[in-house]
Amino acid sequence: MNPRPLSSREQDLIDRYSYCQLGMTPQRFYAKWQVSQEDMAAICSRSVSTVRGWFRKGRSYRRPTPVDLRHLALMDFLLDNFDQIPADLRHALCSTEQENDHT
Amino acid sequence: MSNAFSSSHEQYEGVGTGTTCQAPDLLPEGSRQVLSDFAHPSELLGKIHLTPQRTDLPATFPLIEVPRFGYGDRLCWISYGNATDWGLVIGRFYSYAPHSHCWQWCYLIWLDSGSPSAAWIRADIAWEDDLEPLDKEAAQ
Repeated sequence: MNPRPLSSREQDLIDRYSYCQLGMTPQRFYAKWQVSQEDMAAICSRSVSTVRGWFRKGRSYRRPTPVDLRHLALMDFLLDNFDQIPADLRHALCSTEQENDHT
Repeated sequence: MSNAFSSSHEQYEGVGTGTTCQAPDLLPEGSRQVLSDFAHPSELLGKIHLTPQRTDLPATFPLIEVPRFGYGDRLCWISYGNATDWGLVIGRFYSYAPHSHCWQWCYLIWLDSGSPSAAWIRADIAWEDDLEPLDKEAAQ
């Protein structure tokens, strides 16, 4: 199957996504949502040992990567706006394997 | 994609490790101006400009420090009093470490099934100075 050519609108969407500066710090996410550091580790696909470093002070502080910041920002966006996303799109975005088996 | 970790609006600690590497500015001048334009950190969300840092590969590469750990080593994250993760070294790469303002070795750790984070991931990366041998006595 040949890849589908992109419309200018789709190309614009790719450009906006590629150069999007969306990011949220662990501190802001942790202050905004009642989550554990284990939850944040799962959101970012990191170990909890890594996440703890984001919250330490001084020499043992470790900086999250831009990918981590984007994961948290996207999770924050979904938490804020999940109800406004149509149900069929929600399932397409975040369906579990069990749900997939039934569709 | 570059390994040059970008800045966020947090105030990052700029603590050296005593090594001899050069310490580039964490935030390029342009970024500092951007940050100062906002009155409150909350205004920065979605507006920060993640400008790549000046983190050129050391000119001496590949003549650099020898990695402390090898493939197959059993390591754990330094715990700092918390339960910690552990596993096997299955990979490593040389990258710029913002916390030390140096390039250093970063390891890919395949988590042990009993490691706390193995419930949601199989592997993670960690800086060399965040790791130590799981069996300290055996390592000595």
